[in-house]
Amino acid sequence: MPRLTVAGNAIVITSTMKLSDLQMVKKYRPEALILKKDDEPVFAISTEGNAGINEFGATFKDESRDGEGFATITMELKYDGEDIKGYIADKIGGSLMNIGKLERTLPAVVEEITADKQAVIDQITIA
Amino acid sequence: MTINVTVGNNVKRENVLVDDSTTLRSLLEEAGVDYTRGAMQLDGATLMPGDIDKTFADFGITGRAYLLGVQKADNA
Repeated sequence: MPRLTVAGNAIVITSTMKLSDLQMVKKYRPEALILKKDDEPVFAISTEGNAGINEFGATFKDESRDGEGFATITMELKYDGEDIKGYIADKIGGSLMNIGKLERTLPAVVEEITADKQAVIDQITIA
Repeated sequence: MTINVTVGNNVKRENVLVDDSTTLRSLLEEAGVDYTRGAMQLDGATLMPGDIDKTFADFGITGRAYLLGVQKADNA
């Protein structure tokens, strides 16, 4: 499940996946970024287009500044009430849960792609 | 941003999740919709020449959209 940090009027959503890994899956196995229910696509993670999160998906374009490179989304908090956590959970809680479901499956996909790429590289001979 | 697009024609429609940076043409081609026959409509508005190479973001689509071809059958 992604972590959220609220600072002032900014919400930063930090994935458990690195941006570079998400970009690699997007390039080689984009279907692995789509969550389906009864064969219908219900949610998708992406690294292309405008960054943001809505009921249909989450687009990560930035990465964390801690040197780890985790994928992040920064959005504005438009709420002046007291229950900030409740508001956020109500607005994007469902989407965060869907991101969490995909995050559980993606590490194995990243490993597969990395192994496949290495197999290709091993076949290259520079004469 | 991810958007939910219902794409198709009179006969067949499907729901797909795409990036808002996707052009209308690329989605139509991926969905196998023949956009050379009849009129193409985005959320009920008929597309004009040049519109088909614009992205959904260019049209201000941020959530859900309908991209449908209204094809007219040839009379016998």
